[in-house]
Amino acid sequence: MEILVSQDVEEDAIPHLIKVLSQYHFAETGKNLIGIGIGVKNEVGNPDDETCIKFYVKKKLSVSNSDFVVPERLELPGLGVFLTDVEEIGTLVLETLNTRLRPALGGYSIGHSGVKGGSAGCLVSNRNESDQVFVLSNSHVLAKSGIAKLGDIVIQPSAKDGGTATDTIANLAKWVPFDFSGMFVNKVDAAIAGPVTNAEFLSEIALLNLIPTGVGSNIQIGTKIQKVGRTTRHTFGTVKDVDFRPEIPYPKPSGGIGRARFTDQVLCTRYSAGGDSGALVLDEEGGAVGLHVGGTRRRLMPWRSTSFFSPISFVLDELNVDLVTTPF
Amino acid sequence: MWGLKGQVEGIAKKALDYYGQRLMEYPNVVGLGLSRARSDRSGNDLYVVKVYVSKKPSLFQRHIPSSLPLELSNSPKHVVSVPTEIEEIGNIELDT
Repeated sequence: MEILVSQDVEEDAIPHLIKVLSQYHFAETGKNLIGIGIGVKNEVGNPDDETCIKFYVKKKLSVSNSDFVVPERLELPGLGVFLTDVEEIGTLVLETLNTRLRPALGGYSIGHSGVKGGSAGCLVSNRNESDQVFVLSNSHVLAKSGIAKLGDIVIQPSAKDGGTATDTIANLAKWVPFDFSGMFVNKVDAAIAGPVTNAEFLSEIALLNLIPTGVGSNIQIGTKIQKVGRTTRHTFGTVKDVDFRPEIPYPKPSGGIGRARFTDQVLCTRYSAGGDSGALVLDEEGGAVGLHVGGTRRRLMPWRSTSFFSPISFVLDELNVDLVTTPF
Repeated sequence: MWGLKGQVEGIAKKALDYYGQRLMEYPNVVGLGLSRARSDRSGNDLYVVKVYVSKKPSLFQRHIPSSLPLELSNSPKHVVSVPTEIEEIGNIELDT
């Protein structure tokens, strides 16, 4: 149960009220109660806008149907007697990004039908035919790390989130193949699917409600970044290393597993989890700086966990696309 | 530059290019990079080569060198040393 505070209450009173309310036991009110709070009762009986204790319920019931009736006034020890108010606000739902959404947004669950999936990054347009718009994500999200076939279906939500062929949103259009020579030559883990229409996809990033403003400014050690992804939603990180050269295992088109070595990736403090692959990474001003790929997890020393992304300029150049920076 | 920790970015990057393949052969190495160490007297940022490992190697495994000697192309007789720094970050995983 949450404690919600209305902005209408005297600020000085809030900490005391929260402390007392936190110690109160409202178990007898049953599962219909989803939150308590401090606010103002908006009705004729409260002409002075007196502060009241709010009881937020899924559904307001008649007295005869209730197991517990909220008293008209409630005494809080040491604070006095307060008016009460019961307000129906419905069921609290966490805004999740792993559901089907049309038109879809950047940050939502997506994937090739044959993989667990990841996150949609953003929209991009073909440099040669700018009216062709595609959704951008990782190769390991949209193209089975390069072993898929052109035209394969991409579903939203991803298979991991229950998506099936009926949730097809685009077709695999292009990916950047990996080099398994052992040289540090790979620059991106990226692919595009489409073309999409604005009935299927919009250019906004979920939760941020913004369209990427363009390619962000130069990032360096210490730069703060943000991303919106399917699993950890909106999170922030700090750049640790802009010359990161990881070695990552991927399936090879010829069979087996190969180790691809990357150059000039960007290592950050941990900002992601499984399912966030393909999320667009932005600077604090909303400029795109990268495409999230993966990270490391230290369960016993979480502060040593990391996330990393491919710089967006490499991604756009290798796929020969531009960011869509206007409403679509 | 002697006595100061790190080298200017260009030299540290050269060491990373030159030794990159070999450093990856050491036990538990999952990636490489550069990290800012401190500034020299002129205010230039100095860098060390980062060696990211999944787990710090045991005493019985080959030791990652603590510095990387590098001949400067414009002065072949002049060898500079680029320090390495090991950081334990765990195994790299794709975030699927």
